[in-house]
Formats: sequence, C-alpha cells, structure tokens
Amino acid sequence: MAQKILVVDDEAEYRALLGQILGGAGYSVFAAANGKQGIALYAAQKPDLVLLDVMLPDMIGFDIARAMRDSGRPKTPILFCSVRSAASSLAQGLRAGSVDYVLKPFDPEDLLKRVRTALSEAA
Amino acid sequence: MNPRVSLVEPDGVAGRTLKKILAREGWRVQHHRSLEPFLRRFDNRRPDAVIVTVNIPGMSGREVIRALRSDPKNAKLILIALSERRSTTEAVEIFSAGADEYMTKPIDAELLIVRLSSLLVRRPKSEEETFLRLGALELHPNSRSCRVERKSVRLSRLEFDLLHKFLENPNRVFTRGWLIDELFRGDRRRGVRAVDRHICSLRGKLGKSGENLQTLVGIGYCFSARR
Repeated sequence: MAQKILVVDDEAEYRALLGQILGGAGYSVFAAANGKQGIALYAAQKPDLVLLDVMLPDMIGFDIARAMRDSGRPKTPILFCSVRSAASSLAQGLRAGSVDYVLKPFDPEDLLKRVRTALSEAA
Repeated sequence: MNPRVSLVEPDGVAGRTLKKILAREGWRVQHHRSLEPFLRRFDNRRPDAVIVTVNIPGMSGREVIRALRSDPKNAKLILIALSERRSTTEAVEIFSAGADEYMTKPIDAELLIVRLSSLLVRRPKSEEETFLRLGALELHPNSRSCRVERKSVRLSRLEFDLLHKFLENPNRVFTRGWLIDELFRGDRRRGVRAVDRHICSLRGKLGKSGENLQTLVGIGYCFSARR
C-alpha cells in the first residue's frame, strides 16, 4: 500500500506542485489549505509523513506541528517547507520537533530525496 | 576585521579547548553545546565560518549544513563538519549537503587551523569577483550584464532579476505566486501577466539556452540544469 503524505500549505500552486511530485513518485497525497484542516486530516488519515508550511493564514506551522505531536503519534516525521530561511526559523522548527527543513523554492528531486530519507529513518 | 567563527561542539571540554586554540589565531570564536542556541544567534552574528559536529541529538548537523547552504545569503559562509565516525558514506553525504570540509575526531587542531585559514583566504572577497554561469549563460550581478554564447544580451530590469533568481537556484520550481511576491511585492493583479510576459521575452533572448526555462502549467517556472 502506498505511503501517505499530508501536505499543509495555503498556496494552491504549492499544493499542486507537491501533489505532482509526490503523487508521481507513488505516494498517496492529502492536502490541506490551513492549519485546522491539516490537524483534522492528520487525525483522520494518519499519514506517514507531513510536509508543513510555516506561515499559514490561521496558525503558525510550529504550533500545528506541536498539536500533531501532542495528538498521540509523536514519531511521524514532519518536514517544514517554507520561504523563511532564517536560522532562527530552523531553531524554532527544531524545538517543534521537525526532522528537516525544506526551503522554497525547492528542487523536486532534492525534496523527494529528503522525503525518502525521513521516511526510511522513521521506519 | 578578524573572522567570526561559530563552533558547535556538544562536549564542553573539547569545545572550550578548541575555542582557545582557534582564538589564538585572532579569530573571534563563539562556542555552543547544541544546535538550537547556535541557530537562534546565527542571523544576528553572521559568522564567517561554522564548525559543527554532525552527530548531534535532534536535528542532525548534516541537515543544518544543508539548510544553511541553501540560503543564498550564506553563499560565502565556510562550513566545516566534524564527525565521530570515519565513514566514506557519511563524508559523501556531508559534502553533498554543502560542507567545505569534513574532519573526523579526534581533531588535529593544527590541521583544522590550516584548513580553515586556507578556506578563508580562498573565499570570494567581494561581489565584483563573483558571477553566475550555467552552460552558455553568464550573468554578472554587479554590472547587471548578461552573456549568451559569449555574446552580450540586453535584458530589461525584470528580465535580469528573473534570470538572476533562476541561475542562483537551478532546478528549483518557482511558483508564479513566489515570483510575484518577490518581484512585484505581492501585487498579483499586475504581477501575473507581467511575469508571464517577461518570461516569454527572456526565453526568446536566451536563444537555445531559453529551452531550459520550463513552464509547469498552473504552477510556475523552473530553470533546468539537467539537460
């Protein structure tokens, strides 16, 4: 069965792009446009990995990650995906429990490598 | 000005010793025992070089090297990885992530000083000395000039800015929204048509190299360096 990946991003273009890249690589992709939807999909779909934008209209990605971690499956790898490249953001992601940080714009091949690495390390 | 060096070494004794030895060279060294305080202070301090132990609990040093290297602001930053393991696979991963040097512990302080000094000397001094090249394309940010197959090509301000972004980040997918936020301060109404128009014009001016500028329908653009 295909591994499930949850994408949480408010930009439709990024949701479409990540859907193409990850779907094309054989993953089953679910997408949410805001934090609340993301948390609900996380609980309903139990994804194997989450790709999470840092800046969402209703919530900050770091808080969403904490809510997901606190919901009972703390080992699901979370990769932050953001235009924010400041080292302080990396530090915040680290505190919120992320396993990696992908900067937008990204190289699709590089993104896939990171997703595969995170999934294999979590297995 | 003496170079600023940030050292991330979880072992307190080893870190303090290395800090003392490096400081004797005149370098201003700050020692952190974990990644989080180092990252928190990074933007304010803007070090010239980072020496980081890669096998640290939490986010690995390799991921931090990759993230720091992927930020264009850190193009001149020197990144030296220290490892507990002697592993070719790990060394390949660390260099792929963007490290300039990989050294295994126990660290020979004299060798570390020689390598860091050499990297600091070889580092580009100013923007005038740097330019971007991809295949037959050459872009000089300081003079804002562009050459295609050794011939000068005139670009408008926006065409130049677009090409600059693409050449700095080959193979990365730029969504239209990202380009509009970056080049038109988020003015989507004006930006959508302007981005498409300038991409089309830029593609025409780049001749055969323009084929590398790919459209992802409904998403954005990517300058491919893979063909």
